[in-house]
Amino acid sequence: MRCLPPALLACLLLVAPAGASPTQRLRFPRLAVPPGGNVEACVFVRLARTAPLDVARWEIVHQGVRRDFAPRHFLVYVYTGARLGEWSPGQVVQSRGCLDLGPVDLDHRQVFAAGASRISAGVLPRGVALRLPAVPDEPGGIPAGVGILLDAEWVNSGTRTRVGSTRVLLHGPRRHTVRRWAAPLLADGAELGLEVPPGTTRSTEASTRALGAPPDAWAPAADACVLFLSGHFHQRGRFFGVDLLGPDGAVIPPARGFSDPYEPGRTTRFGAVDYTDPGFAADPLPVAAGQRLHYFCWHDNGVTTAVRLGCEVEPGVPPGRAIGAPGGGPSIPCTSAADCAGAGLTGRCVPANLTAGVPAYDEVCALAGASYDAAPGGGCDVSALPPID
Amino acid sequence: MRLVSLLVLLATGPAYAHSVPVLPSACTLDPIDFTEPATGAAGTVAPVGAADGLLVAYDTRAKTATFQFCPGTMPSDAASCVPSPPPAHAFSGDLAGSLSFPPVFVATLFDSGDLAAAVPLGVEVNGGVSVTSQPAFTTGLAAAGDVVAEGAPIDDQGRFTMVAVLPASALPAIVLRLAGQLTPEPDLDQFASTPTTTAVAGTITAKVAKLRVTFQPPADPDFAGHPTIVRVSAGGATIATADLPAGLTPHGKRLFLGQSADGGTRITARLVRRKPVLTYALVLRLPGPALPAGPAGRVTVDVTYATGGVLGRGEHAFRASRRGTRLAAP
Repeated sequence: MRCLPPALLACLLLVAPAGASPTQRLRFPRLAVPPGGNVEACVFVRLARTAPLDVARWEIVHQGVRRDFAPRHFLVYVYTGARLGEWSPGQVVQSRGCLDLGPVDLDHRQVFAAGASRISAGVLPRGVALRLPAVPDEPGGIPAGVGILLDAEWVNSGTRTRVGSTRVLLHGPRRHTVRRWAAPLLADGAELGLEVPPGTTRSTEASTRALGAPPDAWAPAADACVLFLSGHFHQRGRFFGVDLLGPDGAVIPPARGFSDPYEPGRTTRFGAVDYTDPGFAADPLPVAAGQRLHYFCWHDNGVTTAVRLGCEVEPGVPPGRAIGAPGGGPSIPCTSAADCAGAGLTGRCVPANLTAGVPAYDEVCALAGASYDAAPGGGCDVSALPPID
Repeated sequence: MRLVSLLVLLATGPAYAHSVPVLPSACTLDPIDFTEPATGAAGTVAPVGAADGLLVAYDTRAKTATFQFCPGTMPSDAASCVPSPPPAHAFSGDLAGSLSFPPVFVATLFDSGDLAAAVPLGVEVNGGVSVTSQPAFTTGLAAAGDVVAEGAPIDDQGRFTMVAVLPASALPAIVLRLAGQLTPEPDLDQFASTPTTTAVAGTITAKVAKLRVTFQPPADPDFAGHPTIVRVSAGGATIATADLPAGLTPHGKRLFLGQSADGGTRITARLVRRKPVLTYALVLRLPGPALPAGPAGRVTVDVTYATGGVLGRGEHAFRASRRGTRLAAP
């Protein structure tokens, strides 16, 4: 009998089909949500490996779902920064948008799976696998692991505390089925000019123009296809939009688009209004060489949000300047004059300019997604190409 | 051709709207009531005039409500808000002096409608004694000596009451009661979680109140690091209170204990279970309660507790004995 487990294992290996895909199992721990509660919590999972993790399809299974208790969203991000060692794996942290945990480059992440139904599943385009990179523990280090961030928002409309948990299965590609590897992309140049005066809303198109820089965009070196097109902004972000521009800089109008709430009549190829769940485009988007994905954000600093408060440096001048401007940077945050007693400060806590910055009370504006080389001719169907793995 | 198929295999439940911003409110404050427990002095001060334009903006991530004084501004025109300090307002009543607010203060907002804020105040009373204090305003419990004051969380109409104690340093301790109304009232479910009280039981006689409160906090309370304050009431009238400024000290991993200097008041918190839901039981022994007067029958007893850094409330219908000398709930 003591030999049975190894024998059983050998038997299972023998019956497994040739080229079976490896599966990575992840679990979001049990989360208790009080009656009437709306709780968003995040947990970081570290997979100790030096090689990337390849994903071709995924499943998300929620447990504990009831008529009056269900997830509002569940997102799976891959961390693409360079500070893996600064995360606290396994620790469940309540946080809107997962902005209250992790290192300074926590916004270097890409959503690649999502599902709020009891069971959700998705597959990548045939012949494409997403390569989740192994990243270092610290900048300049060697790859130490793959970081996965799980983000769950549960809503309990019942009268008793409920408990939910989630399992995530990431399936790798079968052998000899991969024609293209997709890799995460991130473009965040719009943050250089980001500066929103107190009591206003402003777009990064305006702030980048004020900085004298060209429109913020991502452009491939050769014909490419973009998967999981999405964006990042923080709590004062009100809209994130993406346009596809032709080589002449003109917008290529989408067949179906998103209405920009701040510019009536403008329709973008992708749009997001919720910083906690920006969503992503489900279909791969072909972007030919010479074309660009132009992205922009609208931020609200005190019109419908709480104004950013900062310590005054020069009397009568809102503190904080765009990080790309000379001497630029966010202001020192404060909630009262007691926080502003340092040297070089007037001692007043005042409404400040909203700029880019790491903490959640500052902003970001970044285009995120994953791209792979298009098929010859620029198409995104690569299933007829020869395998590369 | 379907290149990406996002398959929903089993769909359950409705499609919810996602997180949405909570729009700012206008805030109208009632005159602040103040009492000086040591002397019995009392009075009011008008904190804000209509022209001071008190606006409240919300942040569901930071779980805060930011109170801003914006003279001449309505919530619909919040963009033109330039926070500025409201003028000091004079007391009326037994004390002479004035009180002034800062241009901005930030309160933590809970999904129960509770608010907690440290508000820097300038106070000048009784012949020019000026103090700048930062009392902790709360819609929960505040204690000053033998007095325990309780506020009220934001209700369906947007009304709330915060209480605070100006500590007795340059002046005798003063209890402040700040009530107001938020228009429109905020949608609260995205803010900080509060404990769920699952049971209140026990007996109350003229000699002692023995109660057991079972609650489910969102995380492990820090019983030793925060004071424990309890108020038991019925119909707004206080039955018994307790104030243990040093909190509850751990006795092992599951039990926390605190008692008054004379040993009369004794409060224990015991971990009941961790899974599936973190649950604690608070056992209260409070001497000399004031039994509510009235005929036999059912009396709704309210228990408000601030312990371990969490604030909770519970209630239960107690049965009064025929003579009204004992209240009991199984």
